[in-house]
Amino acid sequence: MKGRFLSLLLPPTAWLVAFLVVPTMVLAGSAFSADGMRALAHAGTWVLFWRSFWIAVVSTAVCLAASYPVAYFIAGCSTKWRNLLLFLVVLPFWTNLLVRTYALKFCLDPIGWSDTSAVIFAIVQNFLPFMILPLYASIEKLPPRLLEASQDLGASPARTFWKVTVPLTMPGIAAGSILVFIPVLGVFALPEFINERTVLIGSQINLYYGQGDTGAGSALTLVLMIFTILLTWIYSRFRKSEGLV
Amino acid sequence: MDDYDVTLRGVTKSFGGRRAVDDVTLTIRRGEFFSLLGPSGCGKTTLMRMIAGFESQDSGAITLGGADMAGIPPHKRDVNMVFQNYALFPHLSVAENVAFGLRIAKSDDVDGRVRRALAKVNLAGTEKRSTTTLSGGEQQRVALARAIVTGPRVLLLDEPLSALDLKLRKGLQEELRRLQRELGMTFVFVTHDQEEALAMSDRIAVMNGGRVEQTGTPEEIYERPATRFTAEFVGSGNFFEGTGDGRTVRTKDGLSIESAASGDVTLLVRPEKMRINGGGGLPARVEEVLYQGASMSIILKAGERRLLVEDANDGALARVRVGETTTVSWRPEDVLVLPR
Repeated sequence: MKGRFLSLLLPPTAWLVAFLVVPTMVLAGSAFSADGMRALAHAGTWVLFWRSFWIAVVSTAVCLAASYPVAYFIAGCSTKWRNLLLFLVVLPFWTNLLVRTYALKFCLDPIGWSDTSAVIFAIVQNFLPFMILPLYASIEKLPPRLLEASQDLGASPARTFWKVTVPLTMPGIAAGSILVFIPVLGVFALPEFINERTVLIGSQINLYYGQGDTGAGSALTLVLMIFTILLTWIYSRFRKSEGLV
Repeated sequence: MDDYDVTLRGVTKSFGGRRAVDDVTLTIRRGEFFSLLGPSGCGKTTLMRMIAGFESQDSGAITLGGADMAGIPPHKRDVNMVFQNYALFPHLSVAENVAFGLRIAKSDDVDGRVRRALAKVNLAGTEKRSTTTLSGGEQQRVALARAIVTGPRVLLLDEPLSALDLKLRKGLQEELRRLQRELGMTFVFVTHDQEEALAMSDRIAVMNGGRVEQTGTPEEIYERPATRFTAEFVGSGNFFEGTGDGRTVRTKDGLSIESAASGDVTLLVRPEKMRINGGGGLPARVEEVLYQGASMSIILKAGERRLLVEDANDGALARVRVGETTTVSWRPEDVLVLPR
């Protein structure tokens, strides 16, 4: 029995060691170096972290606001239309990110829109499906009876939305936000296409590695990882306290 | 019109060409326990959802407290509903579920009113609990407390007891009736359970195929059914189709039954009005004896005709044996006449 149990445990453990533990150790090893520490001591690094953070926050918020009505609409459609619309939502994934971004740039350049808001627009445009799909999944599960009960008790459709729909679709809101926020935090290439001055932490890491400064690149990556893990942990705590797990 | 809380005039509603509610006219009095009784698909739930405002009628008019409800959305109607599957908010505690309507209305003393409403439905002390930890019966009580706490003009109940087991259902029936008396609130109760409707209602509207077959007190519905549908749906019965000459009704299989009816009629004798071995009457063979504890049902065959007799389990019926031949009789005044 015990032997069988261990043999079942072996593949996932080996997988985790090979693809998670070892790379992280290598990363940490090169991060705790003179180059790594110098990069972290540099004030400019933290400016980039801060910029990445607030751009990710704003992008996630805009994504959420733009996706909710779309997801709500799709969830209200008949099955036939739902499938078609969901297909359309994921259709952009069939095109390469770079191609999409170039296409967007060709649209934005003629109208001279290339400031930070254009960068956020490009990010939102790219990450919308990651928000729409989890939102759709949780809105679709919402029992219509609960919305009726709320209106029956005197709540207008708007109050019903804030007091019933939003709290009950919080798992979707949280999942979508995490799915957008974390990759946007480390996004690179995309911002510089729109505006070369909007360097984010992801681009800086890319730059360091490109220059062969592995220590600095690893240090920034490690900080970004710790930050991401921290956020995910807070998120799981929040979900537990809401009883939504 | 002051003593009417709800009136429906010629209310009709179709779904995809099928008439779910067909020209219904009803008046529901203030403070009465009114039941909409009928089989599933008879339109009773649609009718109730129209009173609540979740559906709008194709034609006809609905008034609440004298005011026409055309175009008034559900949240502006002074009615609350107890949903069939409770529809409690899973993200809110018991107390917050009950407080929902009060908070919307910005009432004062929310905590006190919630506490008193929960006490009224025998759920004192459950305020802090999550609704998902409650049993079905308890959830139903929370839904009830949530609906009565804001003091609506009319309470609509959509088969609120159908998901509960028999024992619990009987208990909640009593409680609902008590609550309705104490509050003096108008209850509109939707059910397919005829026993439940008879036991609880001041008046009943029997519905069939989107139409109201008959409206009346439980006694009127049971003792003087206006149609064969009502007679069959509410209780069981022995039916005799025949032609009357003013003194006797003759059936196709050759029975002569004493009745003042004339023309083509259906006669009804309720099973509990029939007597076995009463001396004289219709000869019949005992096919089946169904023991039901407090009462007994005997199924007999008189020729090709199947008869049902019910009586209290007081010993007289216990001697009846399957296969034996006996006689079935009834008093002339227990023969009900239905039009054909």
